[in-house]
Amino acid sequence: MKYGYYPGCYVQTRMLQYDLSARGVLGKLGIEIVEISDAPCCGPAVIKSVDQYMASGLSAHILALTKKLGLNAIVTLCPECFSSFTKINTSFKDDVKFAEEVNHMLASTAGLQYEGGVEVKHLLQVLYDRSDDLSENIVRKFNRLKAAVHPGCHFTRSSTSYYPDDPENPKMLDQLVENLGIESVYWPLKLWCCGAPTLSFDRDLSLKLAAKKLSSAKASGAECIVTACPYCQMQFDQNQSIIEKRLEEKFEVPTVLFTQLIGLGLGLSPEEVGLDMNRVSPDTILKFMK
Amino acid sequence: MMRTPSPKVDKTFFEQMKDSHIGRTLSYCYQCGTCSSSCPVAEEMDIKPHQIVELIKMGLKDPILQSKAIWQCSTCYMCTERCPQGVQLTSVILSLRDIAMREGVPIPGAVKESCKNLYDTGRLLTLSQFQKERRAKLQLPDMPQIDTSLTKELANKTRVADILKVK
Repeated sequence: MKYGYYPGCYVQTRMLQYDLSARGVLGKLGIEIVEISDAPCCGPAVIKSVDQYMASGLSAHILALTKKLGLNAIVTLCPECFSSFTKINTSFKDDVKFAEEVNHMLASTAGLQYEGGVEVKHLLQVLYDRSDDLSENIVRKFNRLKAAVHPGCHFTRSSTSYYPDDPENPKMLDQLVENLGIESVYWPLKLWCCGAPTLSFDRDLSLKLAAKKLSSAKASGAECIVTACPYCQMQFDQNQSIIEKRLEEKFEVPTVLFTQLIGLGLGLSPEEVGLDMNRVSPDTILKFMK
Repeated sequence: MMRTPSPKVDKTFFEQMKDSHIGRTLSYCYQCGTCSSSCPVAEEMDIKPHQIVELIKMGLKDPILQSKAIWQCSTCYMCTERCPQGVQLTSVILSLRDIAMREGVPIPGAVKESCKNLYDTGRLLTLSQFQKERRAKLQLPDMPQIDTSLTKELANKTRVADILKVK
């Protein structure tokens, strides 16, 4: 199956290591992608706060574009984009009046309509579905590296009528990294938000949330955090030193994207998965590699 | 002792909220408080999630719209997920932000900035020269410019244009 590849604004501009490692992994597994990078923003929560119709118009437009390219599935790297698209697929089914209104708006602007039928997948699901293939191609493993796995809210709880994973006990990301010889530890705050969505509205609150998560991961014996979301990655990795300064407490928990770990497992070099772009040194993780 | 004036009651507020598919779910709330006990930011909020629902039902519009809580929500959907009655509280909070803006309550600058980026470029975030060069160095495909006529037209049909005062 061919996927429309939609990395999203944040990944393409601020989290290049995610774009790079994702493409590397997809390439290694021979999963075919078609760029839909000239599509606009997906209509995330900040736009939903302003106007639901604007946000839904954008999401539906991208799915309509995907269909127009002759594709039946779209893959996202960002759970926020995943959730925007998933919500369109579910709300168009649940609320016919809303679907008509959004389509009417789209028809008069873009001359396109979304009639449904594009399967929305986060890269995590695509790779999970190829677990067997993935296991066969693993050339290096991480010898019992202990990881706090953080799949992200907008992946696990993207919609109340479609669940990609168990919302109270998500396991997909855990299983993906366990295939690499990594041990996923139990950490009490696993399901909690990283705080990133409130960063520009209430900075203190946002960093406080991230600090609680970092503490919880560390107290649970995790030697790293694994994320599947560019915003969570930013919060735990790039903001970690800011949080450490504010709290006068050292965490020193390296945080990596799941695609970086899988890429390394598939034989890509640290540079090929953009590991040098991570702020908190991931050197301790590399020591586990065999 | 000075008496603080009671907040104004807007009896139509709950009815207005119930007008949407999402808002209708508010009717089912029986104040069990599962939302507030599941919320990672409730302890910091001036009005807790379960109180937001009750205040809507009581028509206490101004205190809700002026609360910090509606902007403190991290939109993690934990409340929505765990609500035994199917109340779509996160989505309700997002629409409260929309109403607050419409009623002229000051909004965080970041919202306006996001809308401006979207209007001008079609994307939420733009690429700096440094990032552009970095993408090229990493041999990542160039980010094509987006035809913004669609986003602009969409914006003109919705509240985004009002916020940016471009209408």
